[in-house]
Amino acid sequence: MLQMVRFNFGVALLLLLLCGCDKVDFKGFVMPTGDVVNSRFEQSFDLHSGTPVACIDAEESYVFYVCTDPHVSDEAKNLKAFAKELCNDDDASLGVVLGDCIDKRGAMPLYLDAVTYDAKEQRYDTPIFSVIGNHDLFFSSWNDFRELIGPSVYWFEVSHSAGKDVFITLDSASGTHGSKQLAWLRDFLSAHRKAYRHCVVLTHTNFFYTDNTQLCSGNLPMEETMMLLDLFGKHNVTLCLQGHDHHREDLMFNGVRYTIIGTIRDEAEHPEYLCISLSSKGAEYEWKLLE
Amino acid sequence: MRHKYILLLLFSVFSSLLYAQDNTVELSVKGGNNMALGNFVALSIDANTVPCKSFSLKGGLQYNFSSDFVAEVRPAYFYDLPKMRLSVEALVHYQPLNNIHNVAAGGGFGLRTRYLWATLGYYHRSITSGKSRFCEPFNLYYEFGVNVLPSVEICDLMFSISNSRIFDLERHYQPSLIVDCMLYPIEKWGVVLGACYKPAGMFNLSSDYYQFYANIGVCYKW
Repeated sequence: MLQMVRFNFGVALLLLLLCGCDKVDFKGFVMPTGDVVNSRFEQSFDLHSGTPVACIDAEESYVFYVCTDPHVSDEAKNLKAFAKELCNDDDASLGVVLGDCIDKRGAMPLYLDAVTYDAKEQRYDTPIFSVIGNHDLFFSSWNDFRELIGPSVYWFEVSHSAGKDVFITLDSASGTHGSKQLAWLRDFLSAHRKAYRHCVVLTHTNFFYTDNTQLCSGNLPMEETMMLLDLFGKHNVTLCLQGHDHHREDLMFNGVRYTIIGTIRDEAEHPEYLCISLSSKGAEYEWKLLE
Repeated sequence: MRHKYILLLLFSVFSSLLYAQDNTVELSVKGGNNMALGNFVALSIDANTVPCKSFSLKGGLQYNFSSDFVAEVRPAYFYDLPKMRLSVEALVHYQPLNNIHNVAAGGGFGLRTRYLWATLGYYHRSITSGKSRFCEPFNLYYEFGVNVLPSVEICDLMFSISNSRIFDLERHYQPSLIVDCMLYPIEKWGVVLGACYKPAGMFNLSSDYYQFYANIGVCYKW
């Protein structure tokens, strides 16, 4: 009897590792689920050739919307509501989704549909930028992300009467930013930070281990965390916006405001998003809950 | 601040060497690569002493040429049973990196037999920079290992999984895979060889390489 249980357990474990299910890619526990982070960084630079992916014109004080972890599976009700609110707001200049866009093999087209301009329901074609999260890598979904969404590491600018702001989008989906991305980030901040009024970093994996709500969900290794905290403080990064944890957290560390936004997924008890007003006075937050 | 911490930790370990009767001191050099630092070389000295019956003190200092110091101390009370040793230990870990200071303190239980050992404990981490301070809520530390050559007198070969190898205290979802080999060709002198692989993102189910290093050193027992 025990032998039979052992055998069945072994076979089930092996099958899970080899095939996974449609939601959770167990292979990623022991090996990369697709291209590694350094490779994704190189492919991203091939896609945007080392230039900003967009330059948006805005007022000196402008609003942008941020949500995270929609985990789109069979429908994207909350994400569509977010996009509708954003694209009907006269003051909003852009929107951001901070990763874990999908929750199921092959769901990237559904995600893309939810964040694409819908002229019937939306007044403005306000751009929505996507960050890659760990769930977006499962089942080699990086290929879908690259083809349908674009690069995972990029930056864009917002021009206004007081100068420019820069938004840097990082790829932390593998629990590390990788040596190439970290080297680029160090160089970029050293060379360009002073040219911008505000610098906003957008990334999926939260730097601070703030609670145990997701006991096994990982952050970055300690040495990398400390290096980034030091780097962001040194270069006066204004905001570092993160997801992954599914629970809201907002703290100041070394002069930088680190904010984790709660999940907007359809199954969440209190799905939320954040409206940020950015001006020369700084950043003001307004948290919004979806019904 | 950093020098006070380091001196305090080291003083507590190395002063006990003067009084203890069962001491081991290990000097080691580590070379490897990680995503945050690139290629790195680190020197370390650590000691394990038994200054009085049922009480041991382990700790040391590592200097990484690409980053900074790490200091760690683990005092322990142990109790020997016929086929195993049970222990209760405390842990203090300090790691500065430029302007950021990482201090961790905690305690745990250990069990060691000829073939296997396990340590499981809790620690509390505080990350500070100037007036900024962040305290992590809960962290487990653990080490599970197997000695595959317990009956060979001049050699030990050990495999372990750990998030708390000396000088490398990670959060609980960040384990390292370690192989260690100790050779004792001369009575009091030994050679230490080891290698460690640390992946990132394992519990995100999108793991990637983070760090690999190899270390070589000598140890002296008296």
